[in-house]
Parts: sequence; C-alpha cells; structure tokens
Amino acid sequence: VITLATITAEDSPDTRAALTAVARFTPTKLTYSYGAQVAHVAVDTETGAVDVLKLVTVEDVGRAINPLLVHGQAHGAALQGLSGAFLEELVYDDAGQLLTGTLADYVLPTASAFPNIDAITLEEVPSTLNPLGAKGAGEGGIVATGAAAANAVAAALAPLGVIVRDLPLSPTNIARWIRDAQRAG
Amino acid sequence: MRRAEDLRFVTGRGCYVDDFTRPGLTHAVLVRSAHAHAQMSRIDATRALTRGGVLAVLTSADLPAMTAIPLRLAPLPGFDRYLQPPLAGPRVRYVGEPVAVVVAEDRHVAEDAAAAVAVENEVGTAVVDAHRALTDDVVIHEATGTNVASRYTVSRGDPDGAFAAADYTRVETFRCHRHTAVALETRGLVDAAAATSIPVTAADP
Repeated sequence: VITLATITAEDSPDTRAALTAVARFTPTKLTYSYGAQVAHVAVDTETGAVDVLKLVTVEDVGRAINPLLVHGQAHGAALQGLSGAFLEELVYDDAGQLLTGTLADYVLPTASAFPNIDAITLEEVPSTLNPLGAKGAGEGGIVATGAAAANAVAAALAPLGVIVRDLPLSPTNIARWIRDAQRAG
Repeated sequence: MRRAEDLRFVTGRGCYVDDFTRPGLTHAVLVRSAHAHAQMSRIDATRALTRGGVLAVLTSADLPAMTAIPLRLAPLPGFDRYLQPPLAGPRVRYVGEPVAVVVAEDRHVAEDAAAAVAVENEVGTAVVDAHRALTDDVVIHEATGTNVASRYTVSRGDPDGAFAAADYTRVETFRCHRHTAVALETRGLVDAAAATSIPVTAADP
C-alpha cells in the first residue's frame, strides 16, 4: 500500500505514472459565456481621428482552466475588435476587385495604436453543462467592441448632432458625418 | 518565459510549414481568377507545361465531375446547391477563385509557370452587394436560378408583444463593414505519401 502522501512527496516517473488518470467527457450542449465592454474615446472634430483612451472588457467564462491563456485571448480579441472598428476594412470596387489587398491599404494596428486593454475575467457563474464549469472564452473580447466604440464616438459627437449608424469609425467617415450634421443642422 | 512556446519563438527555432522540407519535395501554386464573375472560354496550360521543372498543371477538367468542397459548418437547407468546386470552370465566381494548380520542382518555377497559364474569359457582371444579390437580376450560380441560398428565421418568446409593450422603440439601419482575421501564417500543408506525420497549420479566419 502506498499512501497519497508518499506519492506526492516523491517526484519520480513511477509516482507520476501512478497518478495518471484518463477520463473522457463529451459535451452535449453549447455553453454561453457573457460579458460587457466600456470604451472611453476622444474625437478630434477637425480631422475625425479618434484616440481610444481606455477599453474595459469583462467576460464570465465560468472557470478559467488556464487564466493566462484566457487573459491573452481577451486582450487579442479586444484589440482585433478595436482594429476592426477603427482601422480595418475590406473595400471592393463595383467589379468585385479588392481595393485594400495589401497591408499598406488594409490598416493593421501596431503596438502604439491602442491603449493597454483592461481585460477582466470573471468566474462567477460556472457552467452546469460540464464537470469543469468552463464556458466558451475569448470571443467575449470582440463581440461588443464595435458597438462599444461606436457608442463612445456617438456620445462624444452627440452635441454636434451626429448619429453613428455605420462602421468603420474611420477618420474619413467621422469627418463626413460631422460635415453632414453641420449642413443639416 | 511565461508561456511554453515562447522559448522556441524568441530563439528563432519556431517552425512553420514553409520550414519543412522532404526529399523530392514539389511545390504547388494556384492560378486564380482575375474576375469576380466570368465564363472561361479557354484555359491553356501548354506554355506552362513546356517550362523546365514543371511536373503537372491541373484544371477542373482533370477533376471528377461534380466534385465539391464540403461545408465544415452545419449547413442550412439549400446550402448544398452552392458548394464550391476545388478548381472552378468554366464559370468563375469571385476574384481569386482557384482555376488551376501548377506543380513544379521548386516554388519559383511553379509561380512562373502559373503566370504562363493562359485564361480567356467572357467577363460577366459582378454582384458585390448583398441587397443587389437578393434581386436576382444577376444570378451567380445559374443552375439554382437564385442567389438566395437559404432563408433562416429564429424567434424566441414573444418579440411582437415585447415591442408593442415597450416604452420606447426605434427603427434604425446599421451597417457593419467587412474585415477579417489577418494570419501571421496562412494555411499551408506538407504532404508525403509514405510519411508517418504531416505537419499542418490550419488557421481559421
């Protein structure tokens, strides 16, 4: 008889093998995580350029098996969301030719484009659909980013009578919305 | 090093599909459609095949009829009428759609030979807007007679009642542009008939 204390005290291939266990679980239903985002922006009404001052992204993943990985996913997703909202656009002409087919035209963010993102992972409500309590993680960082950014820009431009209905929030679009609102106003 | 994979990347030992090589490795390069909507009247690989180091040029004529790429995601009813062939022909339906594959002894030869594949097109009208596509004035998959692949309606609870009882309602149209994942490494595959392991990267945008 070998005690649990002995096994854990000795770190040898034998004891590690003794602690190996295999189990399988096949999920039968999808899990749904949920989250929220808040964006704080400053808009230059002369040029239409936007400075993202802060983005907070929160997601309840049920249980984070690898917290560092979940954090990285949330960061990457939120940054991709910001980039999609402000920089990236696949533009086609009437003949179906992609006009933004190079990285000179299709703008990707560099490290200085956006602020450090506040990514908060919650484990408040574990899933009941699997033994780990885990839910989908990562996409919560991008689902709401376009809407959060657009709402922030809309709030900043509300005094000018601008209503934001479209993405992307490019300087060209924002400057046009401001001009249109001034003409209509 | 906080992540297991960091060491190999920061020391330049990360390995990508392009880094793998095998004895007798050959390279495939695709010839792609230059048009969003066209009928290919001719595709001719004669000149490409005369170049040294070119082993084969395949077009849709070399594939079994009705070969189609299956859908990876759960299809809606009707989607199966719109499956994409691995190599298009004679109809091409988007810019970049593969119409031929050139296999050569090295990558440079394959790329040059791909440029030497002659393609003649009767260019049709492109449909690049979903709202225009709904009118069916130009049908991209002619055999189906319509651009509408499927109609999908989902409802839970009582939305009409909820709207009717709401203190405030608003009708607004929002437009979301198209953007995409931009992978550091695009899809690649090294295959060997007798190999026991095949390195693959699959990045799903």
